[in-house]
Amino acid sequence: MQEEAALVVRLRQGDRRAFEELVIAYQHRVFGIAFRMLGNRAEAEEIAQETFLRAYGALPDFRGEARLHTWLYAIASRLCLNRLASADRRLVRGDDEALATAPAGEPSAAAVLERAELDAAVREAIAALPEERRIVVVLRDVEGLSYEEIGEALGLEPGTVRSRLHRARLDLKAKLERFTR
Amino acid sequence: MNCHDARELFSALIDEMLTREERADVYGHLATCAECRRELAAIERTVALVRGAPPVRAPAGFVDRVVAAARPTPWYVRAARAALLPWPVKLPLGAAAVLLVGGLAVLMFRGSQEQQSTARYDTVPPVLADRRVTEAPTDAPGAPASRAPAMPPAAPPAPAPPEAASSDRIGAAGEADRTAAASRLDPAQKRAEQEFRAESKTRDAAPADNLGATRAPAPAVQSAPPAAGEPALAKREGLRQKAAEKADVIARLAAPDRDTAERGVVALVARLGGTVTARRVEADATVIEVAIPGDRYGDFAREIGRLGAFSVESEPSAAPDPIRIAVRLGA
Repeated sequence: MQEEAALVVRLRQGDRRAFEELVIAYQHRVFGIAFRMLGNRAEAEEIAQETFLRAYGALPDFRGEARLHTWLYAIASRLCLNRLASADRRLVRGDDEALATAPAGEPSAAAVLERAELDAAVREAIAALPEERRIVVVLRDVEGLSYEEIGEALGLEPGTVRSRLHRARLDLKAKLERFTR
Repeated sequence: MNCHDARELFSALIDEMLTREERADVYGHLATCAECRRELAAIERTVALVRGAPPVRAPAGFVDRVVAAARPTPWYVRAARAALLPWPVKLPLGAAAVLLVGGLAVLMFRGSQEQQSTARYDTVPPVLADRRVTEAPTDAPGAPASRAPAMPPAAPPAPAPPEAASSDRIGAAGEADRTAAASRLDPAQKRAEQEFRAESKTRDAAPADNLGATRAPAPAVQSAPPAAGEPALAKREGLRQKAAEKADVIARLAAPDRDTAERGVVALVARLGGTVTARRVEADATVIEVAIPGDRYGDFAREIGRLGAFSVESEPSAAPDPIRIAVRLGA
């Protein structure tokens, strides 16, 4: 927390090195959210880059009331949902398939076949979730945000977060049933 | 608490988001319901699977790209970008520019070809084009085959007069033939041409004298005179048009050497500011048609007598200007 506060101070002072440190620290998480939401690496990189650039431009207005990573996730989530809601993106929803077949961060060759199959099934199950449930699962079970942080990032009440998360997990249980018996 | 109520809280139970009372109620139900215990276990395993999914990593170079993109753009770069149009605009404009340049290049190339061709044709007097047309029958039996060899060696063609660029001179004859014909000058014709030039200069100084306009190139088969100005061109065109009509004067010139007589007539016509408009060779005669200024007809009739026995078969009561004369050269 103290390190994050110090980083925020440097960022607000316009320290370019601090911005680079911010990108280094959160690049994989922000990119991961975008990739799991959009299912396309190129599109995910575009959104992730846009997330950091928007954060860079809005740093003078960042008051530190939220955690820095929550703030970043909020920007990324909003950009992803906006992208998914755009008319052009609606026409290419088939790209979600890419999430199921895209390679994970770890080389799949190093994983056992069963694990690779399981990972692919999980990715596919997440990608098949409705967008409003998918983002909640990603923020909670992949990125580890609390209900409050998710509600803050998405502008939702904690009860809404709990409800959507519950529905999402039931959907996932149904899709991954053969792995959970 | 029934099964439905308990299962609604399973997700929050896993996240430890239940109040103490809610948690006690759920555990109380689970103690009596094996089905709900299995359901809770399945959800817990599902959450574990999702949380155990391998992380996704940003692509290599991502940090550098982000930092570079965040770097403030210098003012001159922003200005340059503002000056540049986006591709959707630039591409059509570029294509249009290519087409425009290509079209201009083609036009310039074609124009250049025409100019070059015209310049080459201008080295030959316009009469030659007509002569080529009238010479076509020379291939007929009986045509004097020794005519061309009898011509003296070539003199260099006269420089191309710019006003002589008339497309109607581009006749059926080939350029090589024209050049060869133009080069067949003999000294007498060149002298006649020089005299004609001097006379033309004098006439230029007296605009009232319409002969100045008839400073057409020496019309002979052998001559290649220079032209004067635009009025001369217009006048010469008048002569040519006149020549296309019926001859005003029909005459005969009996001379022992038909070729010599023809060259003399051509030189005379050139000296008088006229032009040869047609020429044809028959079995026993050569007919040349000329057009000269009307007021030089007297000189023509007088001087042509020196070349042989000149007789007029028909002539108008008053000489038109220009006057067209058909001379039949024979023995």
